[in-house]
Amino acid sequence: VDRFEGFREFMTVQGDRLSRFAYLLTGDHHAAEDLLQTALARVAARWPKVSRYERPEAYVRRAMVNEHISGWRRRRKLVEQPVEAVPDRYEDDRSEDAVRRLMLKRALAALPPRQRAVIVLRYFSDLTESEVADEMGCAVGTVKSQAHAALATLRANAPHLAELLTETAEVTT
Amino acid sequence: VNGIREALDDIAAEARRYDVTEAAVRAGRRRQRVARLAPAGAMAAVVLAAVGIWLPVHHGTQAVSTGAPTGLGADVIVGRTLYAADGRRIPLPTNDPVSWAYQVPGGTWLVSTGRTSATVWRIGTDGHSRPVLSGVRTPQYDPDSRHLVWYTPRDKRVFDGRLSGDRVVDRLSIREPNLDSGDGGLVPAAFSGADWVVLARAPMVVDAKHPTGKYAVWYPGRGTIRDVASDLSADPHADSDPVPMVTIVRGVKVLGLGAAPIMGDRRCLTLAIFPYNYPYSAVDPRRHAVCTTRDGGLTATGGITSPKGLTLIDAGTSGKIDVWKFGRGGMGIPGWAIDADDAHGAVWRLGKGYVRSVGWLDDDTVLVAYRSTATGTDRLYRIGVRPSGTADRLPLPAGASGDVTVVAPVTG
Repeated sequence: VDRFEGFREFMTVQGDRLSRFAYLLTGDHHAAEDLLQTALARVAARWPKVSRYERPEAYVRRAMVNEHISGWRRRRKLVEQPVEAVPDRYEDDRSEDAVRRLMLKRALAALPPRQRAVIVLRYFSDLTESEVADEMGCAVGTVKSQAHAALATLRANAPHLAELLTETAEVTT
Repeated sequence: VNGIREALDDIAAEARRYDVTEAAVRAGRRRQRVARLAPAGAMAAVVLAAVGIWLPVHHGTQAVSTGAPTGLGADVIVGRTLYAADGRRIPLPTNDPVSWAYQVPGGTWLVSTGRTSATVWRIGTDGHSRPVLSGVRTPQYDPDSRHLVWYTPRDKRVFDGRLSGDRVVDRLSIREPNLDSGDGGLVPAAFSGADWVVLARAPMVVDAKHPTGKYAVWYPGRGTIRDVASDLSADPHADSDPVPMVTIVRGVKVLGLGAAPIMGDRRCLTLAIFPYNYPYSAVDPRRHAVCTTRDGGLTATGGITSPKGLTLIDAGTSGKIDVWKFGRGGMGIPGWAIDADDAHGAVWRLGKGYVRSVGWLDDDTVLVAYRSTATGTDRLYRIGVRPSGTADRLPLPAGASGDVTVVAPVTG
């Protein structure tokens, strides 16, 4: 029996959810695919062990978060010569929901990867603060402070979403 | 709380199912093999180092051997070996698939390998190879200006730089313009070298109702970028602004960008291009395809210019060399056409398959690497471009097997 059969079955069940998680972390299809593949390569190599975990998907998420954060650190070291800041554009006929989604995407894109990961784990994966801390390998207090800072940044960058974010902040902090 | 959850769910719904399971399994197997072999490898390295021998490294020097001249008239890569026409055989430093290869002045070669994550190698006549770029997406090279453009997906930047020896200098970069935040990056699809770069978005889902893809033109030297998608019209007669028309390869203008049907395992954008010196009333639309493959790679099938300036470009069913005739509705994308007034008329049908790469041997002859979809194997054809031309199948170099890439000769 192929030792990766269990891994394939796991991906059949979890593939969609993990793809969405990767997309929320990166905000870009190519980057999401790269991130997911990089994380899964590690997971596949250790699958016999990972499959015995109570929640293998949590291990994959953690691998993605770590890779995303470490990749961001590497990218910061690149020396570049930016030519021009390109303004974002919106089409006039967007529905209200679409505009809200775009604004939130822009605001998420401005977050450092660790803060972004906290937001995604907390509100997309629906984890408690202690579960987020466990997956990110940090203290609960760190999760709280990162979430607080993230929501403050989101409020600043997306003032039209302040109501939604203020409500969230009260629960989080 | 529900508000942000719903908003995140909405954004997550834009995600596709990234089918990377088998790629991860392959990588997992490699990691396991490496883990098993690492102790023995480390011990062997210590022993070899102790006796003054060092293991060859990827960007080291590969052993060059010499065989009989290939008789092909151009250099080719078969499998992971570069066969120079004069008989030299140079192993490539990687097993990754080859995307393109060029001769570079000075008798060396520039080879791009890998797809999702590409590396561009400078390979010397002595077999010494050095990565010029690595970890990039869709690198492209203009042999005339010796400029390279590439995209780095992690930070969403497009770069332009000039090849100088083994290095890329005069780098300029720009953040990917946010024309539409929904679907993939705006990667360099075509460029003039030095002057402008067409950034095209490669949609994974082709929407017939919205056939105009997102794209922009970046002018690195000027430090400006322009979204031209909304400025262009598919009707050349309606185009009143000449500015968005740009030369995509020598002798050709681009007038628009559209989405083509999914062809086989490829999803294509097509740039509608027109011979530069044709009057609009006589223009026969041709297509320049920019295709994504299932593994995420993106292939821009560019024009190849002969030593005297004839341009070999992609063409649809109106092409003079019609070698790619598969897909839905009988639509052929892309074939290749000789863009020369005296090359009309001849149509070569090489069977069911597609062109992987081409190179000019002289102004009358082109070498084509062609993959049969029936057998999955590559063949080489020498095609005469004059009206009475012929298509001859050529043998691969002795002992060669694997994917075939024709090395584009020096034209600059």
